[in-house]
Amino acid sequence: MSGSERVLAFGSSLHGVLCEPAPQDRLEGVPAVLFWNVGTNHHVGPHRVFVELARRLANLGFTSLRFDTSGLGDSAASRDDTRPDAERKLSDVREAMQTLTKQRGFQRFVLVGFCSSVDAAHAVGVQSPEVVGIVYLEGYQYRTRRFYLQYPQRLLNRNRWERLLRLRYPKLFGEPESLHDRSLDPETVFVRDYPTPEQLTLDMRHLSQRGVRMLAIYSGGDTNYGYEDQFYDFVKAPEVARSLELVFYPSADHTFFLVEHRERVMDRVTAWLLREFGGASASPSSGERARAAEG
Amino acid sequence: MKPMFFGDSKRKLYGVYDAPRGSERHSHAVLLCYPGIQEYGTSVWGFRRLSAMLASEGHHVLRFDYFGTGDSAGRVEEGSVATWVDDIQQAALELREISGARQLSILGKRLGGALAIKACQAGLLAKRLVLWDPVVKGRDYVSELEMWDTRRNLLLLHAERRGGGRSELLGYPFPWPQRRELQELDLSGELPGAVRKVAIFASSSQPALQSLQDSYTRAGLTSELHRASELGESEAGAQGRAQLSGSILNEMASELTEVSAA
Repeated sequence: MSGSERVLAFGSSLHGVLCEPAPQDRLEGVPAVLFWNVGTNHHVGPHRVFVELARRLANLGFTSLRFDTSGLGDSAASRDDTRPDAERKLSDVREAMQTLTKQRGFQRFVLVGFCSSVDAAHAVGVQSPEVVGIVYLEGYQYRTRRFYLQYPQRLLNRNRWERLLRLRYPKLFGEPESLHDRSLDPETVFVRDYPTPEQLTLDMRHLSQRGVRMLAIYSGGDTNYGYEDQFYDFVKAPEVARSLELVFYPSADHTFFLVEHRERVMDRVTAWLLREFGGASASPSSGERARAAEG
Repeated sequence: MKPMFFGDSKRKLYGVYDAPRGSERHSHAVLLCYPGIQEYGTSVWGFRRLSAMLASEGHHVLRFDYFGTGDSAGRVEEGSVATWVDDIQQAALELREISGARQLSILGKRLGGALAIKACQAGLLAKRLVLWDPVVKGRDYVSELEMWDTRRNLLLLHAERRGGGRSELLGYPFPWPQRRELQELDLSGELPGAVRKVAIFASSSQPALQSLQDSYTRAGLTSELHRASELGESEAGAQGRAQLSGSILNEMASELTEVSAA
């Protein structure tokens, strides 16, 4: 990476890593990009995706902050703060934006939500005019009629059958039963408050009218997302398409576990940021910029 | 909790320093060495808890990310056993500098345990070495991670990707040189340099750890093998449960607190 990274301490007890481009790579006037914890994970993101993304963005001229919200990763919890987690998270994201405004002069922000961190990205984005872009990685998804109609197609997926048989009859495949101990599967550790599809539709209209640019990336696998345009079957607002880029990777899983899937996501996010916010003056000066634009 | 970058500007390492708290403050520092990147995500919370426990007992503590992992510089595929061992030495130096502590102990989990042994062999002076489910034979370690990789790929509907010999492992790139080097690791019978005492903590029944302790005893090194109280549950997943329950963390913290009392 040609830029630099340093620890940023802010708020009463928050910590993050500020990743900045080298002075010659800096794009003037572009928004700062924010990442924070996915679930209870550390701020580096699933499989370190936020670190890699932040460094790519620095090479492209963008500043980013990846940070831990109160009580997670490397940020302490304030003993005096008795607010519910979800509420405190929104305040932490706002605190991060205010800090970058005070310390670096940023007036505009792009929030990157991934799975559960989409909740704060969306809520803060709806409420804060300084948010000009939101990335929804595996964001809100609701089963639709077509989802259910297509559901039997899953029976044609060889991998599903293999999973079923191997989990149920490990001995037949010469595998130890402990390998498929279902008690090892991740359990639900917290409950999220999903907006209703109606509320989400209103929010999306509002964001679109405000000119907020949005990127939504969905995966197939075991998610509730089954076909490319499913989004517009639960967000009943086709006009949102003017502001939102919708991407569906049917063979990817919810965490983008495979390196090639993660690469595709990072290429897409960087290309989108460059296109939406890079501006005409932001002429790519390196091979990396050119590659990002192709993503 | 004080996060910071340290080390060479071209390969900066990220670490979090916990200063001693409470009335009792020792001139003793503890360096916490994470496992390999494939097990990093599930270890961060346990390390944070352990660090807080030790700091509240009056110790200086530093946990850090190896080159190519966490927030440290570099890419996963650029790491090697030699660079990670260097990182431990660099982190120990940093911890001594910021704490001013006269004594240093090291705790390493899984691959971090094996790397800590190597760092001590390379001359790092540690009063006590605590090994948490250390990797003893690299071949077994890689096979075990590949087994978990198979399971993850099966669950995530990437069944065609299962099986060993791929250039990625548990969601991270795993280039051939790194694989070969890790498979060739063999710590059995190797003494950890000038360490005064080794304490091995096992989350589950592992014959290799008993053999490791036996070899230390035969060589006249003071050592102990502690079996976590969670034993009795199925072996698979015992490590995760052990660190979540906190009892193994308490036992390790007590072990390290003994050092300054001794």
